[in-house]
Amino acid sequence: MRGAVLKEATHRLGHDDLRLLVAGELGSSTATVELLRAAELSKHRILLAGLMRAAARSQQDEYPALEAAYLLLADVEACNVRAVRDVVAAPQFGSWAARCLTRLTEPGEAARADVPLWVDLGRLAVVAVVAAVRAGHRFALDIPLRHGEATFPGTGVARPGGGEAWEWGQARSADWGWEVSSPHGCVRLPPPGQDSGQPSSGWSPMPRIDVGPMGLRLGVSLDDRDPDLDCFGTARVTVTAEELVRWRATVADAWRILVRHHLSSAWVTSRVVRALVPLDEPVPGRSVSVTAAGAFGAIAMSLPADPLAMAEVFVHETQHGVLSAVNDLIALTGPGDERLTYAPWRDDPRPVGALLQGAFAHYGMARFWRQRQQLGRASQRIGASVEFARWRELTADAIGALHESGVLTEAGLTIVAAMRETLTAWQRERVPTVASERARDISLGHRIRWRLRHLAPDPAAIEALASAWLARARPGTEPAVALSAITAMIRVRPLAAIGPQPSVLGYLHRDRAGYATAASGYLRALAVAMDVDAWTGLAIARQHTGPAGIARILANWPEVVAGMHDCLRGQAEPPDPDALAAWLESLADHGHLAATAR
Amino acid sequence: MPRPDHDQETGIPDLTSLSLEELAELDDSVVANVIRVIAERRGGRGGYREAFSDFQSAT
Repeated sequence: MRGAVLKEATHRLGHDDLRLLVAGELGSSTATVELLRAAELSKHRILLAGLMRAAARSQQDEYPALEAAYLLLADVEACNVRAVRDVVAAPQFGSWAARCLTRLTEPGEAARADVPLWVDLGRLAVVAVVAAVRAGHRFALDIPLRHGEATFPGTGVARPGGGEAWEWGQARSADWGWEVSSPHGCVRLPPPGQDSGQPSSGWSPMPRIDVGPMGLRLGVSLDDRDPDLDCFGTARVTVTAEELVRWRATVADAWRILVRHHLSSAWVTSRVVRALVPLDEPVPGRSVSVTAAGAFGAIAMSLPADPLAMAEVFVHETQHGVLSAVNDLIALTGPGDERLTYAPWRDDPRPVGALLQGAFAHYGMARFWRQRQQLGRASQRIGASVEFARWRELTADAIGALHESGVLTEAGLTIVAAMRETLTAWQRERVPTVASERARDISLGHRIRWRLRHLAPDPAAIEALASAWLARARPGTEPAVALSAITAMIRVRPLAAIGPQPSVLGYLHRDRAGYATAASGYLRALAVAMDVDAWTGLAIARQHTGPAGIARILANWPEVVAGMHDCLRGQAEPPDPDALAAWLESLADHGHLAATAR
Repeated sequence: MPRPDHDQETGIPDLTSLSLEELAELDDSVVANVIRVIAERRGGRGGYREAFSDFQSAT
């Protein structure tokens, strides 16, 4: 029995390893990152073993082709271990294996798929071909074609042509290198390194970007076409020749920034990231980046606005990749982690379990911006301080929520405790007042808007408060109600329904007079209609103009004030938002409100 | 109270030095168990938790 032997050779991640990983110092976390890479390779191999068994048991007609591909991979491995290791460790492979396994074992998944199962399973053949070509191994293998094309992971797209949407073609080694054929045509290709990077009518090479000094190089494919990387839940884009120039330049400059000023992050990124997947911008001017737990080593992103933004994406998304790999080895959260809560970096409610992922990524961002506070022009340094102040506070808040959530395992708590220790030290570091105030306002604006959009106050409690407001001339009629109980329910609204959040920067002003003028405008807007942005702006303005009690209620319970305001809108004399907030604050002063101000 | 890391005992076996030929000979129960654990850690989100409860029952 191999089982007993394997148990002795399990990838083990101790709590000291987790603490070193959080510390993120170059050197101390090196062994842990290598362990995670090895564990992800083992995961891909066990998924392959699982899907081969599942395919054999399900008696699929496709099994012989799958087996032929496996045998070629095994043959190549016998003479070139690295060639096979590289293709199996690739993010494309992890994504493909997980998807095929799901299709083979979950009938509902198979029915939903828009690609025939034999085409999906047949992808192992193109993986085997890539390994064989790189190893210089002789081969001849049937491969699936989609609309007359075959995408070879990390290598390129061959177009021998086809007569149907899905059909078999063939790839084989040849004296001149290798060729891909179909009943309709043949594409001849040289061996690797001999002009195989040159495009032709039948061949589009996968762009590669290799940058950096010896010893700290970033080598990635810019993968805008492999179907196995359609796993990010958002639209991909094909990169034009002109855009490719911009991608290359931005990656090169971003890498220079990381190597020069963020050496530890650069090292981890260089060890983890193997593919960049270009995405469309969901909203013009608003970039997006994603990682998928099943595709370790791939980062999907729209082209960031500048190299610094791309450097930030590398740091952020690599943190996600690392924590996903940790989570494959040790459970970080347990039952109850699907409960929805506020995440300071998302417009929608998020599961508590996902909050840990976000906290780890934004912890990395806080470290990134902390290191940038002394770099560049004065405005850039202030900007870095704002980002540092913002993310250290928000990450600390999220960590506090996680700590109290009761869903963390011991390993999850170890990671959270290590982050908290560092964040506590960072919170003692001084940043310019203008930066800390701006960071506070940006964070507050996001949280207020989120509460207004996603917290549903209890209608009965709101009506009771409104009635008490109308009868406020009679002392003793105020309800004794805790605001926290009124706003317990989260309503999940699709992001498309609520639209993109405008920039919070629009709420910020130079001085107190500017905020006072802005507050008047927000009050006029609220007299006309319910307006989430006007409530947000008013709440931020009152942090600067006062009175403090009104500012506190608007910041912490905006959905209650807005709910009351809406409820009373039909009255002959429309209520004044400030007056409502002041009244709620007066109840708090009388001990009726459990205002848990942050 | 934190939840225990009981699954440390059923982590991912080190298969990095195993050949594909040897991988094919692995005991089915070892393969199914490891995949089940990985899937559970995904919490059923974007994973194959149900998928592998099926596979495991098949073994």
